[in-house]
Amino acid sequence: MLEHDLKAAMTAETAALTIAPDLAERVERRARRGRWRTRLAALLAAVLAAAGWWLVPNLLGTPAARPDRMIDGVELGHLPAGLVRQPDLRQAEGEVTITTARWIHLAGESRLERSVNVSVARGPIATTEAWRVYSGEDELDAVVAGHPGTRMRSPHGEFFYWAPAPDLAITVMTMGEVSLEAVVAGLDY
Amino acid sequence: MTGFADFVAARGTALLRTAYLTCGSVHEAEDVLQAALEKACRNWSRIDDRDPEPYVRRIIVNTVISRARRRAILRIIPTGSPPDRPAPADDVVLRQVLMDGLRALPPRQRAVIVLRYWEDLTEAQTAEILGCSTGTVKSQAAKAMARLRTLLGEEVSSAGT
Repeated sequence: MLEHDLKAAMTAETAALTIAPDLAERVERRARRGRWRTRLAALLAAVLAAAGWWLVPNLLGTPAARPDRMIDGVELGHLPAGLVRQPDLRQAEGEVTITTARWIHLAGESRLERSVNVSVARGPIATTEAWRVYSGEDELDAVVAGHPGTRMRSPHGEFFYWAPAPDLAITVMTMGEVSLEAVVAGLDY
Repeated sequence: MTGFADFVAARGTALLRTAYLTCGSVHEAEDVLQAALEKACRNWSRIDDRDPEPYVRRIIVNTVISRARRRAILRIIPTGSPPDRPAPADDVVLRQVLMDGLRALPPRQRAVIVLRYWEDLTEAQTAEILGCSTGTVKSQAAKAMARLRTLLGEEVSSAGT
């Protein structure tokens, strides 16, 4: 029976594998360091926020993150001229929050000519229905700007979905003469 | 944190084996296990009154799948032995074919097989860890087993020629 053979093969294959005797000690040490790093980062963030968010870019000589291009911590770097941001849409599914920002350009008679949609999902995304729908039984089928993910094309535009981290998923949808690759490549998170 | 050290001593090796079977690399398995244990260690005060093993196992499996997705590890790993290796016994050949087949499966299917047939979890428990329905677990397991059967069939055919 295949199940039996498989279990026997897995047992034999892993028989020699054991953890290092000091694993627990190393993990506890790293976890303690991680906790301090988190506290320090939170403290620094609070200090910087109190000093004013403009202070850092002025001191470092770098441009500030543009609030009109921020979507729940993700910055949209590439935005074609003429697109105007619409009110964000915020949704929640269990512990996952999804923020969707939309930039549009209307042609004559309020006809939608071009648009960029960016959705940022944060939390345990693997538990959401969206994850099941997009990644369900399929495997990766596309790479856009170096990100492996799921890409779909329709007469109305293009769609790309990927998960850069277990608790972060990003969806980009473009319509009209807007390059999906350029939008995806320009995202900073 | 005595409870944590005891847990690692008691269950660490079993979790390492699960990680290895799910990802196919000893180095990555050790890395994933360490990352999962670190996360568990940071939250130990919240989880040590429950059985922490399912929590750690869930992190391991989902981390492996997530990493594999990111790296797009979907290539079929070549099967067969190097030519200078002595001819292995039949059971060793079977083991090699099955393990090569397991590594060649897409990450989610591989995780389903490891959780169902190595960890002996039920379909419902497997579905809970992977965050999917039991129907998906059934279909993924069926596809994976069909693929392994095909591989075994090919091996038998090539051995007979």
